[in-house]
Amino acid sequence: MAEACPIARSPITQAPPVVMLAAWRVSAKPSNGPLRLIDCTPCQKTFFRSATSSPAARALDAGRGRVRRDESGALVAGVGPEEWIVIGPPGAPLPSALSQPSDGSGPSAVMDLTHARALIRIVGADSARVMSKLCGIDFGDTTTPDDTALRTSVARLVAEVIRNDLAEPPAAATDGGRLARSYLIMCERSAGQYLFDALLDAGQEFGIDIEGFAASGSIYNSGVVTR
Amino acid sequence: MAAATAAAQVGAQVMLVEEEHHLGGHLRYGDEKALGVLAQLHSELQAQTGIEVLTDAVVTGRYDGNWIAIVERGRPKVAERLIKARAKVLVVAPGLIERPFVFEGNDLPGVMLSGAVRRLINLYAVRPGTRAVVFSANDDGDLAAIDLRRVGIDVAAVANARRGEGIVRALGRNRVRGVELTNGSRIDCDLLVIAAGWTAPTSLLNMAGDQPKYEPAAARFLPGGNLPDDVFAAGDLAGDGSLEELIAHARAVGTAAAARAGHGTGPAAIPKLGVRAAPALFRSRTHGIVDWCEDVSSRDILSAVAEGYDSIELVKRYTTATMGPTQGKLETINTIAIVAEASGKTLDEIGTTTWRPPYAPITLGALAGRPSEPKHVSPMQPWHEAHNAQPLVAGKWIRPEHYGDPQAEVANTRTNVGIIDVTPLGKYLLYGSDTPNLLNFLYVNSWSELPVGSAQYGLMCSDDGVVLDDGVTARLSADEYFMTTTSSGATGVGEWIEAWLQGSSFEGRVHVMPATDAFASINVAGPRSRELLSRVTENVDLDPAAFAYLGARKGRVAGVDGCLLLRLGFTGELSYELHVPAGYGLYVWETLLERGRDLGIAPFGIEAQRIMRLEKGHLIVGQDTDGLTQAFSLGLGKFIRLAKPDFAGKPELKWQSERNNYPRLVGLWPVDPALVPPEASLIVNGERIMGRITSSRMSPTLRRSICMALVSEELSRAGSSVTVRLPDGRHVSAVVTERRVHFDPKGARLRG
Repeated sequence: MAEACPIARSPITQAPPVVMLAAWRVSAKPSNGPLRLIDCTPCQKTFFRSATSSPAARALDAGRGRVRRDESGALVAGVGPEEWIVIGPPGAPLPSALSQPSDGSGPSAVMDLTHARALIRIVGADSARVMSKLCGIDFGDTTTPDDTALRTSVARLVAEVIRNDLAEPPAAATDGGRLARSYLIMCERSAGQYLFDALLDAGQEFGIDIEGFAASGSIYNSGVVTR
Repeated sequence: MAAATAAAQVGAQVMLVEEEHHLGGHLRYGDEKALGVLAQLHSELQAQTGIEVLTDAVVTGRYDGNWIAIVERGRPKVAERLIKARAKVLVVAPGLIERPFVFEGNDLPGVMLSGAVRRLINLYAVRPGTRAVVFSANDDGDLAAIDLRRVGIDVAAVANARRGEGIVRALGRNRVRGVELTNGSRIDCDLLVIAAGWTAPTSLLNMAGDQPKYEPAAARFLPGGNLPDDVFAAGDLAGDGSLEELIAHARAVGTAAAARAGHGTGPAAIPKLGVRAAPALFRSRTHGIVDWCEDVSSRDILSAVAEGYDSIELVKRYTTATMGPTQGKLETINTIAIVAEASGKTLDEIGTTTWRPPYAPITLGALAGRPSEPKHVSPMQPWHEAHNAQPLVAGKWIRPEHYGDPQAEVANTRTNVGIIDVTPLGKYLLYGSDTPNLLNFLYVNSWSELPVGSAQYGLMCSDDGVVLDDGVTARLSADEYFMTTTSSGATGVGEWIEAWLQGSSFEGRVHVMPATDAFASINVAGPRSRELLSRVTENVDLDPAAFAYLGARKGRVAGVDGCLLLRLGFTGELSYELHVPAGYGLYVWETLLERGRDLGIAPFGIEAQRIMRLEKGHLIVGQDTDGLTQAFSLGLGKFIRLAKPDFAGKPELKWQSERNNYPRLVGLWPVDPALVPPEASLIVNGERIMGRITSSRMSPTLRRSICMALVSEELSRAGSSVTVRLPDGRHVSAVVTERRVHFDPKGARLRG
C-alpha cells in the first residue's frame, strides 16, 4: 500500500545534475558566477498570522518589514500586517515561537507554505539591478537595507521580497569577506517557473548563472538561508 | 567628467549619465588641446572607482527628492529601458546647445550649425559640402571655418556678426544654392554654416524649482540662483570660462556635491564663472522656421502676438512652438525673442515657458517597462506537455483541454476510471471558531450544522443576489475548514471574503488563508475510482459506509502525508477530489496512472469534464450564469435559506422569491439529436428574445445533443417547446426536459 519514497518537485526546471535532497529533486549545478540564481523552493516556509500582541508574535520578534534570525538560524520576516513568514532549511520543524500558548487575544493561524510558494534567491552585487528591472521598489541601501522584508509586485506577480545578504563562500569572495547582496523572492508556486525565467532574462546583461540548490556554494550558505 | 571624478575621489558613488555614445561633449570634435584635455579627463575617470558611466542615456526628468528618470538605450541585450534613480545630490552639466538663427530658407538642406559641421568633419570624416559660407558670431564659427578649409572645402565667405556682417536669406529650392548677405552680395554655395550663439538647457534645474534668468550680455538664459541644496550646475551651463576654468569649477562642484552627500571633509569653495559677451542674434530681417518639429515660422509667432496671444505660454499653446520632440532645446529662445520683438519687450520680461519632464522624448515602451504576463501552471504540467495535452488558456492558468479525444475520455471515465488535474480550483483554509458564521454570511445556504469530516455545496451571491461563485467547503476539524471555489473565481472570492472581514460589520474570529497553490488537486472519477484509491491510500477507510458522498478526510496518498480527500461528483461519477501537497503533485499523478493501469485509467481534460458535468446537469458559474442571474434562477431554491438572519444578497433574493417571474436555468434537448446549437444561441419567440443556450455538447453517453439554457419563466416548464435561432439565422426546435440532469438523475453512480 505505502509508496516507498515520494518525490517532491519544485515548479522550476532543475539544471543538471539533479540529486535528491530531503526528498526533493534538486539541482546540484555549481556556479562561481558573480550573479547567481538559486531555486530554494525546498526550504521550509511557514506562514503565521496573528495579532501582534499574541505570545507567538512577540516570540517571533520581527517587526513589519523587518527580518531577523531566530535561535535556529531560520529567517523570520514580518511580511505584512500581522503576518510573518519563517524560512528554514528543508524539513525544519515548526519554529518554537509558534508553539506558544494562545492568550485569547484572537485567532492565530499557522500554515505550511513549503509547497504553496516558490522561493528563489538571487545573489550578487548586481542583484538589486536585476530586481529593479522587474519591480518598482527602490532597492537602494537607504530604503531597503539588509534584513528588509516587503510584499510587492515582481514581474506583475504578488511576491514577498526579503533582502538577505550572504557571506560569500571562500572561493567566490572577492571583497575581503563583505556580504554579497542577495534577495529571496517568494511567489505563488504555480508561477514559479515564470518568475525564475523572468529573473534569468532580466539578469542576462549582468551575466546571471543558475546555481543548484544542492551545489556547494549554496550549501555553504547554510541551507541557502542563513549567513 | 571632472565633477564625477572629484566626487568619487572623496568617496561618493557616482552615476554619470551621458546622452551621447561617448563621453566628452564638444571636446570630442575640438582641436588638439581639447582632445588632450579629454584624454586626461578620461584617464582620471577610468582610474577612479565608484563611478558608473551610462552612455546613450539621458536624464529625462528630475522630481521631488532628487528622484531621477533616466532613459538608457542600445545596451547589449537591452534595447531601451527607464532607470529610476534617487540621487542624494544631482549635478547638472549638459553643456550648451547651439542656437539656430531665423532667416528665410533656414530649413533648406545645406544649412547647418557650426557644431554639426565640426562633428561631421572631425568625428565622422564627412565633408558636409563643397563650397561654404560661414555666418559666425563666436569662436566656434571661426573654428568651423578652419576645419572646413582643412578638409578642402572652399569657404567662399565668412560673415562675421561681431563686425556687423550678416545673412539675409538662403537661396535655393530643395537645397542651398547660395546665400544673400546683408551687404547685398549673393554668393553661390551648397553649405551655409550658422554660429549665432548658444542656449543653456536649464530644464533639469527648472524642474528642481529654479527660474532661469536672461543674461543680455551673453544673449542666453542662465541658472537663476534658486537651486535647492541637493542640485548643482556645472560646466558651460553655469557660465563661461576657459577650459581650465570650467574644469576647475566642475571639480569644485563635484567635491561640494560629495560633501552634501556626506562624503569628504566638507564643502569646497566653488569658483564663480564669468559671462562672455555674445551678440543677441535671433532673427535676420527675413522670416524663417523657428520650430522645425512643429513647422512653426517666425511669421506664425508674429501673427499670434498680433491676435493677442502676447504671453509666451499662450503663444506656445496657440502655435505649438516648443511642443515638439526637441522640447524647446532648439527653439525656445528664438520663440521668446520673436515674441519680445513683436511686443516691444525684453526677453527677460517675456520670460520662459515652463520646462516639464520629459527633457527628451521617451517611448511608451520605455515607460511601460518589461513585458510581463504571468503564466500559472500546475505541478503536473510537465506531464501534460509530454503527453500531447492540448493547452487551454483559462484565465491566468494553462490547463489541458484534452489529450486528443475528449469523447473517448468521457467514455473511459464513465466505464473505468479517469483522472483530471483540477489544481486551478480556488482553495482556502479557514481557521477559527466563527468560521460557520462567516460561511453563513458568504453563502446562501446554512453552515451551522456541518459535521467534522463532511463537505457541502455552497452558492455565493453578491449584494444584488447575483450568483458570484460556487464550490464545496469541507470541515476538517472543529475550527478548520477547507473551501474550494471555481477556478476563475478564486482571486475574486478571496478579495470578496477579505472585503467582508476587513470592512464590514462581521467581527468573527476567522483567518482565511489562500491555499490554491499549496495543493495539487486531482479528481479521480469513475466506477473504479474507489478501487484505485484503495491501492494508494492509507489511514482512510474508503468503504462507502464510512466515507460517503460529500465526505471529507485527511490521509496519506501514495505515501504522501497531509493529503485531503473529498468525495464529490461534479462529473456525475463516483469520484474523489485529492488535494496533495503541491510539490508531490506530479509524483501522486504518476503513481495513480501506474497503479491504475490494469483498471483502464486514463487522464481526461477540461472538455471531457465539461461534457460530463453537462450530462449531469451541474452548472458552471459564469458559463451558465451571467451578470444578472440571481440565485433562484438556478433552480437551487432548496439551498437558499432566507430564514438566516443575514447573508450577502439576502434582501434581493427575498424579493426575487416573491416575484417568481425570473428566468430559469433548464435542461434542453434539440428535436434533432444530431444538432448541437452553439453556446449563446438565442431562444426566441418571433422577434422576442426569450433566453439563450448557456451550454451545449454532443453527449457520448446519451448519444445525442444536450443543452442547458437560461429561459424566461413562461418557457421553463418541462415539455415546453422553444425555438432556437442559430448563428446562421436558421430556427430549430428544442424541448425543455423534465429536469436539468440528463444522466443518472437519481445520483446512483456518484453516491454508490
